[in-house]
Amino acid sequence: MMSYVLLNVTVEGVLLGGLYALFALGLSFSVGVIKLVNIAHGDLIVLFSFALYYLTQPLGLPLPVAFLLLLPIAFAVGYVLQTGLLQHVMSKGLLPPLLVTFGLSVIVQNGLLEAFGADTRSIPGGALQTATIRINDQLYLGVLPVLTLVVAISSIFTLDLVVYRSRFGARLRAVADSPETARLIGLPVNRIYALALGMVGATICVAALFLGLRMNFDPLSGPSRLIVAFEVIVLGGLGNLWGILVGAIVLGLAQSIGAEFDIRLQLLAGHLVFLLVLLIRPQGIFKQS
Amino acid sequence: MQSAGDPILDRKSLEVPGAGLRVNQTPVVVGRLLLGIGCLFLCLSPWILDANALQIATQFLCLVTVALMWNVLAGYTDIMTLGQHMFVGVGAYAFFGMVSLLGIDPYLAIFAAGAVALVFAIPVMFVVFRLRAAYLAVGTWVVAEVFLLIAGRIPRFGLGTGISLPLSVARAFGSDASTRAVAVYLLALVIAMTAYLATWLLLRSRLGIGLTAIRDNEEAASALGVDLVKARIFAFLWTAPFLGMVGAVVALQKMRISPQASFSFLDWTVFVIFIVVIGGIGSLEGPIIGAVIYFVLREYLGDLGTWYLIALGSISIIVMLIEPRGVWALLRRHVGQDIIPVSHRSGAA
Amino acid sequence: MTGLSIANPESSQRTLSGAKETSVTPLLKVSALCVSYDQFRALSDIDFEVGAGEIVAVIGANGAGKSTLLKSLIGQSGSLSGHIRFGGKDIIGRSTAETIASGIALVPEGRRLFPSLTVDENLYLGWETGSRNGMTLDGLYSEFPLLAAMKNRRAGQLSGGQQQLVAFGRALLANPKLLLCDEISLGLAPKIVDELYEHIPRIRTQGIAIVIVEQDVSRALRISDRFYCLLEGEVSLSGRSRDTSREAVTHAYFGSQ
Repeated sequence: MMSYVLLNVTVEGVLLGGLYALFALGLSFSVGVIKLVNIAHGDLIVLFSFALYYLTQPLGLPLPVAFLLLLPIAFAVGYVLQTGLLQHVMSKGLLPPLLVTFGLSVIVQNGLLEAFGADTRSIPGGALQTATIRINDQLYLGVLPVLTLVVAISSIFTLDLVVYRSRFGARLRAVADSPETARLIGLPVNRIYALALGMVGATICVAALFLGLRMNFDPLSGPSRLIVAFEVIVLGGLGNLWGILVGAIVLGLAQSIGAEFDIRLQLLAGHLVFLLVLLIRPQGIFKQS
Repeated sequence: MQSAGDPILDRKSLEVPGAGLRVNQTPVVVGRLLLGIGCLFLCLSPWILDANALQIATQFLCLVTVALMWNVLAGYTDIMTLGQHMFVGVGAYAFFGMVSLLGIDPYLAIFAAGAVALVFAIPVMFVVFRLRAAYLAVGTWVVAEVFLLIAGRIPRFGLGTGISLPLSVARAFGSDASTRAVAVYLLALVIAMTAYLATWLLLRSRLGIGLTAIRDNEEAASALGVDLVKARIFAFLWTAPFLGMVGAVVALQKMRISPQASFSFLDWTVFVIFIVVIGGIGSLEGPIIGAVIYFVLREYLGDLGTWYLIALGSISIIVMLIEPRGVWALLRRHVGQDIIPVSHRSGAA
Repeated sequence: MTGLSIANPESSQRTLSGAKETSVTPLLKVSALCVSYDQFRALSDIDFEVGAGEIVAVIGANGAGKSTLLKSLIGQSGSLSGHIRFGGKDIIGRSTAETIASGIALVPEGRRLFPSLTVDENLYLGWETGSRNGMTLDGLYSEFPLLAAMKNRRAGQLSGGQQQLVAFGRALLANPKLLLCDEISLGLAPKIVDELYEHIPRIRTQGIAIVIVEQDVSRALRISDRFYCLLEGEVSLSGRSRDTSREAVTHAYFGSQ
């Protein structure tokens, strides 16, 4: 009996980790390459969840179509955000970019409130949300959570290929190492940043899809997603894409175990584990590469 | 600032306000006069304003205090905190605990709440200072969330829905509503003025000059021997007691504590950040100007809650794009000096 | 890009006579250049010329403005006034990327490689941002077998001398007509510096003009055709390296007492 509970809790935690890894992917990328912690990160995920909701519900588009439509738009949003806004404050010091994204966060939240009201929504996924895979009599895995984990792993894998094994990735890493040096040798740093943030936008769209399918969301849910992404990054250690997965699973497990004791302990359990790791190992669980 | 006779300097430097030339003194005098009148008005408010207006004035004072504290961290040590609402909440809860559970004299409890906030600030600082810059900012937010969640699990403090302060506490501040309003207002006034006076003295002290140096150029300050770590620790701990006392006053004003209301991210972090950003980071005048703008805007847009916030957010972004030091920086170009002088040489930048 | 080809037939056949004005348009002509950062004037009224295939040294004490001069040539300095003409065209206001693509490359002070990238990747970036006509990565590797040997090592793990060689190669791969070398001897053992400096004349034979900023005055004067000495942001002395007296240089370097 005990092992059944333990197994389920573990599986839940790992699968939750898959979703959390998707939240964190974009943030980790923008922190690693552009050195930007986007306070509006969670809000942007929620924004695209609402966009998906809007396209599928009132407008009635099939979900895959809506998603494929939004993906390039999300890329463009990231690109324009960098060139139109962030680029102009990044050189002004530590605080201005943070404060700008903070303002953006508030604007997005309230814009969504204005547009959609305060009700919580979710994206109906039909059979996808209810289907399960039977492992054995005691263990059923939800198809959607498994799919989320698979997508998370493939996204990390793809990103790893792009960043570490491609010529474009060399430019990204160069700019991450030193934007000043990059400028000295003639790299178009601002354009590279913009492309990077565009990629972040795309990952945000993917995260938005699975967020909307798996959880309820409302205009004010952004900050809690940001905090999840942030905790994952700190837990997993920076500079390590696969660390995102590890950090996400650790957080997922912590929350899952907490929830097992008392559903209201879920969030707190995650935070406490985060703080504990922060105290013991501020550089995260992974050794710094 | 170099003297005007230095050949290396570009001619433009002579146009910088405060470079040693005679600057028109009128704007400064006017500014100081306005400040003086404002202070006088605030002191006389209990006799001038009605109960409603007095409430708003109390809110103004609380906001200005909290804004000043956020500014000390963000404007002088480059620490952006997103979690200072945790100390406001701690102050509120500590106040409740002391008057309701421990039976401490309410007036004393207001100030003791500040002490409790300071005590909590120490371990928080240990945890949070393991992070830097943006990570520190979000880290403080996480810790604040933890405080909020834990506060909501304490039965004696009303769990998730909160609890009201016992009426005896209210009566200790006055036998009727208007007397109480005046008492609360005066408490807020004392706290705000103490906060301003103390911070002003701090910035004029040796430690404070170090802080101002950090504000202007962190690297240079460090090279000159300013201990950045000590300065950050000190600044972080400096803000806690004032935040706690504000929390106590707010709890008293509402006669209630609850996790969402006492640890309000919106009231004590979102609005406060907008106030300081718009008014002017890194100056004593900034929070005052920002708070005034906030209340003026609230008069016209306050009913449209979401649009009000969108407006504040947009203005903050525009400020960051155009003049990161805020409205005060724009004004200062015409005024030429600090209205609340922090430096020791008049006319200096 | 139209205009000067790498081997300018006129100047490559003349030994430079030492006249400050060459009779054909020099590859690089800087006139009345002033550079300021905020209120600090870093360079005042600089006149500076480099002909195709010349080696020109820039010497001066720390803070005299040598690095600023080089950086201003590629568009990486404060506010400028004056003229910089490269290949006959005014290049002030051009982006760094444009300038590098049109034939000026910098070996930056302090090497400035990307530590987490491999040598191969560092070099590739130099090629990619350059004018892309001429040498390729493979070509560089055959000329510098040392580089080929370390091509898969992370740049951050190399020694100072190895890094300098990579920084050199990176600038060469941009296929410049004008190569700017900023203090390439800094922090390196003399023997290694000697080896590095052996490459300079070889590069010149390919028709590339070279500007060398050097702390080591003797080395700078030995290797260069002409020199400029900077003092507090101004040119205090210039002339043919072989014809100028040590005394005159010392005066110009430190300023007459």
